[in-house]
Amino acid sequence: MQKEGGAVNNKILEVKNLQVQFKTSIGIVQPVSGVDFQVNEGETLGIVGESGCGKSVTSLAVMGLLPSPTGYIAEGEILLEGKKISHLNDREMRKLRGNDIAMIFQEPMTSLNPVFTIGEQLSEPLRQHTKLGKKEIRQRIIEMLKLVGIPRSEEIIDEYPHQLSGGMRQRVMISLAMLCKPKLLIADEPTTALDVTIQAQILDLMKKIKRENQMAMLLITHDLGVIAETCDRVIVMYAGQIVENTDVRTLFNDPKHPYSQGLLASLPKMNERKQSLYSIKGNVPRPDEIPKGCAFSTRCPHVFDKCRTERPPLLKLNNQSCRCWLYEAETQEVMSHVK
Amino acid sequence: MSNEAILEVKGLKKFYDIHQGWFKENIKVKAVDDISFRVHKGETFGIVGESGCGKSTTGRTILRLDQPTEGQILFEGNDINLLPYEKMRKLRRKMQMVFQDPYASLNPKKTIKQILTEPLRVHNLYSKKERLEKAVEILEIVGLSSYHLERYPHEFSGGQRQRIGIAKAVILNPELIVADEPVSALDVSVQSQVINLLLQLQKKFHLTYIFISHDLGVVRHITDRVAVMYLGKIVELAETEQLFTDPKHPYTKALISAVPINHPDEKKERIVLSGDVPSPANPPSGCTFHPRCASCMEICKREKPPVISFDDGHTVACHLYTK
Repeated sequence: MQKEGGAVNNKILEVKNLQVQFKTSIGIVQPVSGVDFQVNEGETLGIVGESGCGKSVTSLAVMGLLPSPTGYIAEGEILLEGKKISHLNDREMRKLRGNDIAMIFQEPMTSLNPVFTIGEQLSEPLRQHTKLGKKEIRQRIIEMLKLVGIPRSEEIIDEYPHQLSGGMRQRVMISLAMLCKPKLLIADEPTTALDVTIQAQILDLMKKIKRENQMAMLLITHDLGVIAETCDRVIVMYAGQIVENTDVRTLFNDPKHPYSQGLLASLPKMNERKQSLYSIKGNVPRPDEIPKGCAFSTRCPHVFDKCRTERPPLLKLNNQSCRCWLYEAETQEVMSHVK
Repeated sequence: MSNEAILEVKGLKKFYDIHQGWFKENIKVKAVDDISFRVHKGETFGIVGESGCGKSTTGRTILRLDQPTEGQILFEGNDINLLPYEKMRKLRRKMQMVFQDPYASLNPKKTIKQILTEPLRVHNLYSKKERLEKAVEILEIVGLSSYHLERYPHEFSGGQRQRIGIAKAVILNPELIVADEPVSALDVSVQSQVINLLLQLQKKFHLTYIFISHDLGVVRHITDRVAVMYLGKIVELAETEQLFTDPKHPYTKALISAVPINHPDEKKERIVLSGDVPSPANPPSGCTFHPRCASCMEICKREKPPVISFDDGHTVACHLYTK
C-alpha cells in the first residue's frame, strides 16, 4: 500500500476481518462481513458507500457502541495502537471513549442533550477522564470553543443547544470530541445535515484540527466530493464488504471496481448537461437479498458466470486492492487480508 | 423551448407570524420577501439556496398550499389566489408537486393502486377500469410494474418510493411540476436514476419543472435557468451555464465555490463565508447579505440593492453593479 506524503507510518487503528451480526425477527443478518483496514497517525481514511453498506455499523463497532445484545461482533478484532479493544467490557471501553477515540455524528441536534447547557455537556468528558477542577474545566471548554471558531464562547457555554444554529452545533460536537485530544476521531457523515457554505467551513475546521494534532481520522460519508476534499486513503464499501481500498488519487483517476466506477460516473458533474446520467441499475440489496457470488453481481455491467457463483477475494493490484474477478489475471497474489 | 410564460410570480411575499404571548407583539418571519420571476413553458427552472432561504415556501405558495401574504401568482394568465376553492382544485390537475421525503409523502395505509388512482378519482376522470389501466401504464413508465400495484409503500426502497411519488404527480398529465428536493434523500446511484427519469418524463410529456434544490451539482445538470435565493429574496437569476461560469452576486460566488471539489487534484479558490445565515425574523438592514459579504460597502448597510439587469435576462440584486 502506498503511503501519502507526510503521513507517519504509525498504526493507530487496525481492524481485522471484522464481522458484525444483528439478531432480528427474521433471523441473523450480517451488515458487516469481513472488513479489514488500518488508519495511520496523521492520516484521514474515508469510507464511502450507500446507505446499508455497513459503513456506520463499522464505526459503531470500533466505538463499542453496537446496540447490545442484538448487535455483536461475531468475528475479527479491532486494535487501537496494537491493543485489542473489541472485547473490552463496558467499564474499560468507557475509559477509551471520548479519551482515545472520539466520534462526531451526523445530526448535531439529536446528539446533543437538549436539557443541558453546552458547558455542562462539554465538561462531561473532562470530569470523566481528567482530574481538573471546576474552574479549569470551564477554562478548557472556553478555549476549545474558541478554537473551533465559536464567537462569544463565554456566553455560549451557558446556552442550550436549541439556541445555536446547525453549523454552531456541529462545531460544539467537534469541540466535544476534541476536548481530550483523542488519537482517533471518527466522523460519521459530519456535514451531511449542513448547508454547502457551512459544510465548507466545517471541513476546513476539521482539516485544520487534524493537522495541528497529528490525529488519525476515520471519515464516513456518501459524498465523493467530501472524500476528494479531505481524505488520504479511501475504502469503498458495498453490501458489508470492502470492494476497493486505495489512495484518494487512484480512486478518482483509475477506479477498478465496477461499483466505484459507477459511483464516480453517476455524479452529475461528470456528465454532459441535460443528458441522461450514467446510472447503476437496480437497488442496493437488503442484507437478506445479497446474492451468493459477488455481492455486486446483480447490478454489475461486466458480470460473468464466475461472479454469480463464487465470491471474489480482495485482490492486490498495483495501486489498490479490489474485490472483483475481472482482475484475477493481473494480480500477483491473492490476499485475504490487506496489509 | 418557447418564451411563453406558463407561470409568472409578481412581488410574492409570505410572512409567518410567531406568537410571543398575550401582551407582546407577534414576530414576523419574512420567509419570502418580494420575489418575482417568470417560468417559460417547457423549461426547468431551478431555485437554489440554503435552508431557511424560502425556496420551499416559494414552491408551496405557487401551488397555493400556503396562502401568500401579498403578490400575484399567474398560472397561464390567471391569478390563482383569486380563484375560488373548487376552481383551484380543478386547476391543481395542471400543477403537481413532488416532495422531498418519499417516506413521508405516501400514505402508509394505502396500496400503490389506491395511491395512483386517487388523483384520477378526485378529478372524476375515466371509469374505474380505465383508471387502473392508467395506473399500470404510468407505473411502467417510471420503471416499476403492475405486480407492484397491491403493495404498500413500506415494501419499497427509497428510490422506488420516489418513483411512485413522481408517478402520482405525472398521472394527471400536468403541465407544471414543482419538485421540492426530489433527489436529496436518495443515495448517489439511485439519485442518478431518478434524475434520468425526470429528464425522460419531461421530454415525453413536455413538462415544465420548477426544481427546488440545495445541491448545486444536480441543479447545474438539469435546469435551464436558476434563481439563487438568500433570506427570502432572489439575489441572482440567470441561465444555468451563465450563472455557474460567471456568477455576479458575492453570495452566488461563495455558494458555487463552497461546492466540494470533484477530484483531489483540483485546486479551488474558496470563498469561505463567515458566520451563519441570519434569522429571517430579524434580517439585517439594507442588503440582507451585507454582514457576511466580502465586498460590503457603506451603502449596503443602509439601502436595499436594486435589481440590475445584464444581457440574456441575467439579473442581480447587488450594489456592486449600480450605476
